[in-house]
Amino acid sequence: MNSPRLPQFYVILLGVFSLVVTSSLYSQSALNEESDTILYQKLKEGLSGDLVALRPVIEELLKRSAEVPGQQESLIFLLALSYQDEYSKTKSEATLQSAAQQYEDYVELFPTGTRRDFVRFNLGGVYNDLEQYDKAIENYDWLYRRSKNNTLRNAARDKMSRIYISSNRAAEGIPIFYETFNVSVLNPELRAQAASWLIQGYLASGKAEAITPYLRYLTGRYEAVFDPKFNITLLKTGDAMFEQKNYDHAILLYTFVKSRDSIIEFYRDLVSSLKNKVRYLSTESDNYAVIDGQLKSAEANLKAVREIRSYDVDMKWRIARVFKETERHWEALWAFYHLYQDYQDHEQVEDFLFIAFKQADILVDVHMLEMLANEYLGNEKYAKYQDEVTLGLAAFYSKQKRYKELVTLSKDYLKEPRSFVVAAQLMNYIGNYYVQETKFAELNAYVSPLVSRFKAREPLYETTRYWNGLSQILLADYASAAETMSAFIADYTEKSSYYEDVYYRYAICLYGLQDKQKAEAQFTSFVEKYPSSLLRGEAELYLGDLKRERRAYAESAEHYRNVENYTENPAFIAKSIFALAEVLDESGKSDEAIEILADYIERHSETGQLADAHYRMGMIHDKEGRYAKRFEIHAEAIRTLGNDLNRYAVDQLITDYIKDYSKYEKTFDASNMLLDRLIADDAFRNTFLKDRSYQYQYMQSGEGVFLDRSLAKKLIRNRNFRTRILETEIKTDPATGQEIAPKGPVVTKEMVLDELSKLKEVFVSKSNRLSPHTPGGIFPALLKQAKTDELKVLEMRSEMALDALKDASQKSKIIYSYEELAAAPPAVINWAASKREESQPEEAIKLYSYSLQIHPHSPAAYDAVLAMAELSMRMAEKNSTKENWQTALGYYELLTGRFGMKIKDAEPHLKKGQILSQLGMDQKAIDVLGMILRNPSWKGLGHAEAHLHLGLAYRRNGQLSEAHGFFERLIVAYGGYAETVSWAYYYDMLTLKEMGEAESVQQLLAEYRTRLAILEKTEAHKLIDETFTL
Amino acid sequence: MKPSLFKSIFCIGASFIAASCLTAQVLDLPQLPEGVPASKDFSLDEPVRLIDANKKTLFLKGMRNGNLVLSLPNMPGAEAEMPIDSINTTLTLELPKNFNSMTSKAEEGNYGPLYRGMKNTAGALLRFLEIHPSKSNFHSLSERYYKAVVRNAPLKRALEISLEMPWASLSGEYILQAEYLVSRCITEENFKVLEKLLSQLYMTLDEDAFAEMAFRIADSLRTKGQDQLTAKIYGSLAQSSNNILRQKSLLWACYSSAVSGDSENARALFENIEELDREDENFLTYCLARGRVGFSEGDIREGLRFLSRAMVLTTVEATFKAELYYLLIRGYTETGDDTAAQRLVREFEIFYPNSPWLEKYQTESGV
Repeated sequence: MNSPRLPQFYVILLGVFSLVVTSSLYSQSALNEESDTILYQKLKEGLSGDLVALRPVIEELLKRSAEVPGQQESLIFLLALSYQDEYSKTKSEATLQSAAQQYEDYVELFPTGTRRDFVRFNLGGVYNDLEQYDKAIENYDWLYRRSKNNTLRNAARDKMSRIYISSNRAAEGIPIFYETFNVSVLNPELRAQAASWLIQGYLASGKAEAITPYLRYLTGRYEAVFDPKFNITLLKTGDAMFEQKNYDHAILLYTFVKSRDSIIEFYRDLVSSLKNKVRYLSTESDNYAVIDGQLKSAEANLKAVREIRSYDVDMKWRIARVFKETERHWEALWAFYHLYQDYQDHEQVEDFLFIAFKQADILVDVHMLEMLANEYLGNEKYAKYQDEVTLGLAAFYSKQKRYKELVTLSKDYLKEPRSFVVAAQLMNYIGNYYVQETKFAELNAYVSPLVSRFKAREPLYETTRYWNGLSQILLADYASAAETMSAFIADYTEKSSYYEDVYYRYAICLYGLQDKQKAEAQFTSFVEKYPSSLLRGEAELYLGDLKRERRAYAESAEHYRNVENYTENPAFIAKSIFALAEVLDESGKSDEAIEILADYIERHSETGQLADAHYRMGMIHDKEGRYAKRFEIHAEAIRTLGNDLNRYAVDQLITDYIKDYSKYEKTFDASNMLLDRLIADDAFRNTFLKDRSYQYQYMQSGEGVFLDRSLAKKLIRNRNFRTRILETEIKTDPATGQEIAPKGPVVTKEMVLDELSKLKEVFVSKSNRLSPHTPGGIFPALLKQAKTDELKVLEMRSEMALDALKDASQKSKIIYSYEELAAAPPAVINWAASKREESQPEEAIKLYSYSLQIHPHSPAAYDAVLAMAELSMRMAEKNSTKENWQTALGYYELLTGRFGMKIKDAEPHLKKGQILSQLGMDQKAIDVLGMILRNPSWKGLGHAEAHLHLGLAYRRNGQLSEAHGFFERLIVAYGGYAETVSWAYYYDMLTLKEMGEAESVQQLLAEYRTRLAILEKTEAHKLIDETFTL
Repeated sequence: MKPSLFKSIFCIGASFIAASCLTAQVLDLPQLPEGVPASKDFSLDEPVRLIDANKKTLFLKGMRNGNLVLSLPNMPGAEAEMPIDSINTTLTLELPKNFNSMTSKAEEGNYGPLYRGMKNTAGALLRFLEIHPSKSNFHSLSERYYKAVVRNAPLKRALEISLEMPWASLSGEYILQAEYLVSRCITEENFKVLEKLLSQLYMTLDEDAFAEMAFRIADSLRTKGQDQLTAKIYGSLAQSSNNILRQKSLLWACYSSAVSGDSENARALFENIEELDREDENFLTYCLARGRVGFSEGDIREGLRFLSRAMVLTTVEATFKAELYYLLIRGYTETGDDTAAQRLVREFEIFYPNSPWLEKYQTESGV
């Protein structure tokens, strides 16, 4: 930059020169002829004009004054100024060199000259322009240290400091910067300036940590703060810090960078203000040069900053990056979001939006994450991060349990997947959703077509195959599932993330197919292959079950004991403990079984399935004949656990308590009554004990059916005992008429009565021990306690129990509101629903639905759905409309789709098939019924019924040959099921008749006649007789 | 529009104003008490000697019913009353000989000589500034003198003088000095008299002029824990008919309530404020208020969400920035984001080494 010289010195010169120069052009030859007076006059006049033009005059005067050095002092100065002026116009370095030479001559010749300070100042400027910074600094430093002119001293100090900065020697300037800072206490502008220099100095010397005390002075509207170079230094150094991961200092520096607009505004104001100031200053005043210099500098800065591209976005971007890197995710989120909002045309705008989204994702910010994701996905131009954003949004929906949106998003993507990797992950979300919602049939319907659609499109293909197989298992379609899983195992390796699961699930398929040997082998193989698998615990449970079924109790127990070592899942642990107790009990180790259960209760007193454990413990006592103990345990469990809404097993405790107590009460009554008769009635005793036929009839009678089994066994089959209660019959020898001595010991009537009385005492005692536990005593007490202690759940359970004790005519009229039922156990809601089945079937269904809705995972959920299905079926049968059949179908589909693995027989599927047929959907009915035949656990009546209904469906479909095939197979293979078989004969005869097979009809009739003994009482018999004449 | 004037219009029942003002009225916010206007009926302890346009001496003795009470030296015992708005001469206070010396010293920061030297002249004239500047030389003189008062007079005296001044007639320079005096009150913790001064300023100053100053003052008061007075300032500002100002005041009132732990009131106030966007003028204040209310309700994430946005939207020069650092550090710490919290602490220590908020953080965290 061109350093301004100091024009004020013309004034000084004017005082010295007495001659006036008028000519503007001076030839040397002409000047030679002029007198000194004329030349000085010309010089005086020319000082206000062009000094370059005046140079010949100056040179001539210098020549003439060679002998008078004192006169040369001002002339040398002027000559130097003229070269400096010329340089400002021509930018010729040679002229600047000449100026420097003249100033140096001055310094040498006139070290104490009156203009020495100005000479030094100008010389500093000349050397600065010549980029000889050492010399420039040397002169400014001389001035700063020695001048008595305060303005010049400060100006020299500032010039010197600026040279250190502009010549990239900021580190060397630290001492002078520091000196300046120390004297700036009362001058905030200078303090800001000095602080900015120090910051640059320390940054240049690599001492970033030293800048911190000075940063706070970079506030306010001071030029130093707005200096473009300083701001660029901050920006660049910030970048360097950022690259070094020195984020603390990077953001410190970025924070102080001013925006381009604010710098322009500042300098525009400054230029305007300085112009105003300089306008009122005399060009000869002390301050003129300084203010003029400031003005030129400000104008240059304004021009420079206007020419640079706006860096505001870059700066904000940098700050945003620091937020991101330093884990200030909230600030990063907003910083990037604002960048996205403010710079829509920026080439990185897509990145801004994506990074904002990522921050929201990290923060799981429910407000911004979804909005940003939708913003991104809604813009057709954005593709770079589409997959990540889609997955992020899906994960968010999943965490938020917003499954509707999750499934919509995922399914939309799967319509035309850009990436099969992403699609596979989304498929997992969909699969998880359906499984969580227990919508197994929907999952199967969705994923099944995808398997063929995305064949060989890995990893999506692999994923769809997995979910397809899993959905088949969950629908209890083990045959299809086994096929799917087996093929998966064959096609993939252990590298597949699903492999371990599939390997395990395949074992479950085999188990479902009742192929126990293969199932055991597969589970065993799984445990060997994946000993640390999270599924190991569950596998051990299955192995326990399988080995238990083949009576390998010791091994079975070992597996059950293993479960707890490999899983923390409380449900599996409970199952294994309960199964272990069962095995021990079955092995005759009932005490050990009880201990196991007691230990479980103690160890899992907080979270264990305590009601279930107590139930089982009681039932072992029950099995051992310790009924009182059983009821004591169960009553205590009901009392202590009954107010816990989520302990669903309490409901089973209550139900079985009432049912079994009543049974035992009847048993003991019947037993005592029999014993009384045996004691009191000799004839009856004789007949009962000796007449097998009478015994059979008695056991089938109303009294006999309730008889205690052990007592019956003792009286009828226990030889040893019988010998003690059969009075010895003393026979008489017909020949002699004498009594024949019995062979063994004689049993007298007294002895018999004594024995029977002892037995009676046992039963009286049993009966007495049971009586304190009568439901009629227990549940009213519980109800009272519940009411007193305001235990609402226990109260409702007690009411339900008491209602079960009452006759139909005396049933409770209690009606709970929905609000009350919201806090009721599912069994209570189901109970409330069942009371309305006859009078208000719609309301009953509403209540069952409510039970299902608020307790979807309780054992009673199945009961509720089953009840709804059966009730709706009855309603449809009563009022056979399409709508009613469809409603019934809906409930059966829910039952079979959601509780596939819980359904114990084929009944629901049969009903479903039946309804489908009613709706004219025979092909679907055929599919459903066909599935029954593929499930080996439903062999027997289930398969027989399925055959019948399949035949009927084919018949309706006009496929008579197929129909006949099913009826025929039923007749051949399921002859034991008289009702079903009888129907099969009837429909097969009709079918054959329609097929024109009259002879076959006759053969079938003949065959039917041979089985009349069994089939005569069946419902179809009458129809056959009427139609075909038996 | 001055608040007092606005209130009277509201009472008359201009329905459109009532509607726009409903929120603040319904909320029943605490407000600054009614200010007591400077008396226009008083006698000076010592008359002030003045010169009229004809160079004749007059003695200004006080005011009666808003009129100047004057006496003439050649008419002992006689008094003349002159209505302020019909002065037909120029009243001049002759400057003492050492006036330049006193003002020079004042410029160097030594206000004592000026304050003491003109206590009975310029000091007395501060009560007569309703006189139009073209009719006297009081104004420029008093401006300098009042600057000396707020800096040099004992606080109690400075407040007494200030409460006697006709603020409605005073220029922006006086208001700046008044703010300085308020700062002194806060520093010296004399809040009772401060409330009186603020009430008077609120009653007499132009709404915008008062608001500009009041938000800064409220900031300082909040830092000092003066929640009640802070709430009154916001409550008074919330009476404005200017939607933006009213909204801003309500937002700060929310903020203030949240700070004082009254999250219920803060939330109730918030119910009356619509959701703002970034384009809205008060968005920054909105972020601060929502964030602070979130914190007070124990919803740290909500607090962080809004306060972090305010952080990003402000520069280091914002008056509440230090408080913002404090809150964000607290928020990040509570959510277990220790890395972020530590980064903020380092910045905080550098930018605001003397802030009471930093001190609060250091005390609470045991640093």
